[in-house]
Amino acid sequence: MGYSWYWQIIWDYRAVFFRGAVVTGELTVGALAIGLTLGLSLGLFRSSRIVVLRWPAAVYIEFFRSTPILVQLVWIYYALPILSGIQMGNVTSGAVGIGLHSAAYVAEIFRAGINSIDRGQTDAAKSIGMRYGQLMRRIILPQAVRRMIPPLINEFATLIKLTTLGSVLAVDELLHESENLINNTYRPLEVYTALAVAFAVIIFPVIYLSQRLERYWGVRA
Amino acid sequence: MSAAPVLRVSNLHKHYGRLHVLRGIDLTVDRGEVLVMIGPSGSGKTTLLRCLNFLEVYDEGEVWFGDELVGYQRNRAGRIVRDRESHVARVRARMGMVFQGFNLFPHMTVLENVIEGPVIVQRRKREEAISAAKVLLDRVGLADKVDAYPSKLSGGQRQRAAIARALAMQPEAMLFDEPTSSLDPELVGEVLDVMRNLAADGMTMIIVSHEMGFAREVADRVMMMDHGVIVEVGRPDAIFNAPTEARTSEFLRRVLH
Repeated sequence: MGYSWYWQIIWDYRAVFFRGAVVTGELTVGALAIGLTLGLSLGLFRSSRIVVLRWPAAVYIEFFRSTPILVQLVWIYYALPILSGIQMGNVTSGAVGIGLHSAAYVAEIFRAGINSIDRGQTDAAKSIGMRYGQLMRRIILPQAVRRMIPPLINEFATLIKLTTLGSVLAVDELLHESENLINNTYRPLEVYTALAVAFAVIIFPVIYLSQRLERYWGVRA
Repeated sequence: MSAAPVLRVSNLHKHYGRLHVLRGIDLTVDRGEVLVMIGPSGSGKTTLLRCLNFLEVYDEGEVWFGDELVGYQRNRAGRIVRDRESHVARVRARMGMVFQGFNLFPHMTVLENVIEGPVIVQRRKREEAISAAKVLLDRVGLADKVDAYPSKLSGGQRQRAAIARALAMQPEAMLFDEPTSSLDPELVGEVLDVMRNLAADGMTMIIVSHEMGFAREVADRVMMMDHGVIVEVGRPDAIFNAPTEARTSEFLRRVLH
């Protein structure tokens, strides 16, 4: 194998990577905002005693967890406009699709966190006269949040990686920009390698932080 | 003792699915009375105790705390319906409860545990709640553990902190659900001492316990339960020395051997 690497090309086209990184960032932030807000609501609804909240939340979560995200993205971009007349741009479609998908997982993290708190805590809070809102805010959530943060950070790392799926909607995020660059330079080995390294450099600290927090709170709990 | 009972339970029933765990309980508890409930596990003692402050929803009969029906109310059409959550909470706040598993809030110090109810539920001033809490913690022998987290306490200390947390609400009655059952034997005494003092101060107490010596010494009445019914109720010397029911003498023979 006498492949001669030409790394200079990465530096020469660095603007392309930065441009892609900005779009990847936009997708991430948009999807994160949707995923967190919708996910937290869905998680609360699913733990609710009220059937008309619990049931739709359960259907949503199970539906999004049991269909491929690629299909969800394509459906939102190509099928939704025909059915509803709602035509979103490709970046918005990508962010919304990844956000809706992520919400299902955030909801489950949230629910698992609440359920992991011993029932005795609820009993004790009620016995001193707390109402549902007070016991959630003062007793359950402060304990549950600690257990939720490490898996939420993990979900954040997953979400960053999922943004590469935006390339199928021709969103000019990192992967799509890289593919464009390869079409011009015929240097897939250098470009794909640099792309993988770039993602690793972004995501590894996130995963590491999540593990450290888990261990820190595990010891103190 | 005053004329009006603190607690009045009539024809109380509770089902768990097809399991009929309380089968018609009738009971009154007077002000200042100490009632100890005994009986084999699964006899419904804990379930009954949890119905008294509606931690457990009962499905037939009535529980009256003073002049409040616990957990239910009469609507305009005169039908008995579930009470509003806020009102259930207000009634509950007038009864203290102590649990087998302590159930202290692990993210708060001992002091924060004790002032949580007064500050958040009763909306009392924080400084007032703190000084009242310190008096209570001193009374249960935890003056030096005010700023400790529950995880740093022994089981006996945790249970005494939990008693202080319940007392901080200035309850009219205290419910104890096997308060010493998860303690190491050498730590049981310190918790029973606190309860003994409470009883001497005239607190109305309803206690589920396997501590027969304590029941004999502190109880005004002992109530024997089995299979969701009250087998017999009486003064401790009557129950322990001359039980009228075979099930009671059988149970006592097994636990006292």
